[in-house]
Amino acid sequence: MVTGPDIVESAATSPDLEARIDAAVAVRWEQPPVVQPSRRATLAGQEPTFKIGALWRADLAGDAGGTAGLDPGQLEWTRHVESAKALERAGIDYVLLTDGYAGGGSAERGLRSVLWAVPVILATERLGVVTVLRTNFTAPTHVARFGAHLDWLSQGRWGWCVATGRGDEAARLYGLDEELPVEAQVDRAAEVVAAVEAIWQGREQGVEFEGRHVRVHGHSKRPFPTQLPRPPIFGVGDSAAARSLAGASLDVWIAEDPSPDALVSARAALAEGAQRAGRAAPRIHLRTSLVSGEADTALRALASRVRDLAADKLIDGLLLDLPGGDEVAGERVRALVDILAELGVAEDYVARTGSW
Amino acid sequence: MVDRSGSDDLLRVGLFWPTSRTVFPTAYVCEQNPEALDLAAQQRLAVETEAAGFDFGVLADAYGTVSEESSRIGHHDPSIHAVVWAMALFSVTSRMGLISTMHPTFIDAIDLAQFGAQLDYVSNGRWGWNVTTGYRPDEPRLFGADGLADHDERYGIAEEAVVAVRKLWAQDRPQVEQRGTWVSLSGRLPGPGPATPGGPAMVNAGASDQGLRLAGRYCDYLFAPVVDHAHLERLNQRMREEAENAGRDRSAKVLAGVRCLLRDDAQEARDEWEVVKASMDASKELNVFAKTIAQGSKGAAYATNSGRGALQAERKEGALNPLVGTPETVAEELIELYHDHGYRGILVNTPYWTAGEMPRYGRMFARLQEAGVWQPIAQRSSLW
Repeated sequence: MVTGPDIVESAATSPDLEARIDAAVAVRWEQPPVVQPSRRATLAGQEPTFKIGALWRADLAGDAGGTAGLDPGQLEWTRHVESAKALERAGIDYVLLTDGYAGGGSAERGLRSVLWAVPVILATERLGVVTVLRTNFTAPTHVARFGAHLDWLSQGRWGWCVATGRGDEAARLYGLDEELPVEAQVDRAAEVVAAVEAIWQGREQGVEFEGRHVRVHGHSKRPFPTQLPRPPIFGVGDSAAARSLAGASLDVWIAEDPSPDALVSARAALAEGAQRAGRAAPRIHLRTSLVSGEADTALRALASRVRDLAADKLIDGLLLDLPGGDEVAGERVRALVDILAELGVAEDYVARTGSW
Repeated sequence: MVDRSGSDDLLRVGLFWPTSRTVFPTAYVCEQNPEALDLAAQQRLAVETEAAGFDFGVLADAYGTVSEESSRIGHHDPSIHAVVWAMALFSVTSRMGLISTMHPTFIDAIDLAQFGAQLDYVSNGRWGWNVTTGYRPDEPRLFGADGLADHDERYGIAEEAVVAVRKLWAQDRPQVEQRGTWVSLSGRLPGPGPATPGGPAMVNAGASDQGLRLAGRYCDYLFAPVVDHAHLERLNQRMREEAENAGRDRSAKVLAGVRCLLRDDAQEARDEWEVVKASMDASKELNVFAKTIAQGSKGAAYATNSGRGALQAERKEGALNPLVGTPETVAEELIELYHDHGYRGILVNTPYWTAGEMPRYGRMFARLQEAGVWQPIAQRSSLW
């Protein structure tokens, strides 16, 4: 028969124990727990400098892997850690992790951004870590909470890249027959962004959000993001609806088309949307490839094009598609960063890395 | 460690992870613990817990706050995210399992499957899923619902999600077609499959008939607030019946939640336990939590194991009493529970998680091993 301490013990409590009990009973909550980390980044204070990001690849370390099935090596923790360190050393500002639903055979590999952001965050100190979270599938409360925890773990280095769906194949995994039309998806995305912001702002009072697509009511538990007023929000998509959302709500819009005409048009559309919303226009980061084995002259040509676009105020940053192989990728990125610094696109990347 | 066959009959001991500063409703205990979101403290705890010998940790999770009073002291708010932080805890451990709570009522089946598969992959088969339907009345409103779905519906969702997820986790990630009342999907699991053949371990914390059925048919563990030894036997019997009905070759182990406090000196442990109990009695406002749970489907069983109710329950003959003493005396109690009453799973719920608390458990595990009721993970064929 197992006997608990209450049954075993029959001796009267000692005066010393009674004093301890009195003291314990007297404890109330005069000292609320400290829930803010020591370091806090603020979006409001971000420097208006040229930024460089890199699209995260699970296969950065080593070969790109086969096209069929899965290369387990690409999923090793240490490879993510080494890649993250290499990119931080290379002096860029952030990495962007996409959220995967691919069945296999692509670089995307179906990795879920909010999980694989963790080793990247833990392995770095200054690198921004942006994760895609898809608004077609992810409830605002989940976005807000994943973001808050990643922002907490990174001490203010997390950002959210808003994306909608990932095609009909992904939609079917969520029980839908097919994706909604683009406009409807963006309409929903705009509501999710607004709802997530409302959750983050409701840290004291709770949230009451009633939209056409999403509803959120109540009090979310802590933590909330450490960045104030909120972590940066990135976005992609070249439709009029996507640009409208970006202008109204986002901080960074990722451009896919490098032609000056397209960038001029995008800049104007974003500015118009921002003006309507009474806020600063989002910055434009141009997505471009850093091809493996690119010769120094080709790298310089890329840097020159970037300098020209930046000088014409058509872009505010780059999002690099990297070649496979962490050594190569790290070296190429470092070389590009150095050339851009040399060309005066930014003064010193290493010195200011870590701010949005 | 990718086998979840659980072929041995040895004891498993898990830690009810301190996902918040305190899971005991007392300001006194809270004041002494680290901040819940202190990464270094959480990782230190993981290292110490693994080194001591714990088989796994169970990370509870929820979305809403419990009460203003609870939030003010850090009781269940803030708390760590059971999925995101599991990655951070896996990064500093290599043997111990971690079981993350995910609600099929709030998370799509494909997300449950992908998060689970990737956590299991990255940890080399050390991850498990605690299937929870949620009970807090206000929480569903954070996800657009008007309120808590009725109990049958919640378990209907859970069962359909579990079925879908297990199909998605099957070897070679097959095409899955499911058209259910609540859960529908079509496709294959994207990304890596789980490291564990047949899918990661699963736990259900259900006290209701549906909860017991779900645990018995699909899960490796039933986490239960066992009131007394007769209750354990009833649960064991039910798990055997459900396993037989479902054609499973083994039944779910009952994981009995037990409050535990170890000190180097037995009197010191008893005194400290008195202090903890008195402080819980004093924190009357915090017992809103126990009432909330009691009003939910889990009913009286939880009410007697949480807060004030438990203080009476532990005085009953035949009750599963709190384990309070030295590592050696507590080990003797566990050995007796194993041999005389059929306990095979214990989930330790301890008030303190300060540095140095977990190493005491190392002595407890050493004694359990000596008595042949427990083995270190590395010496077993199955983690779970």
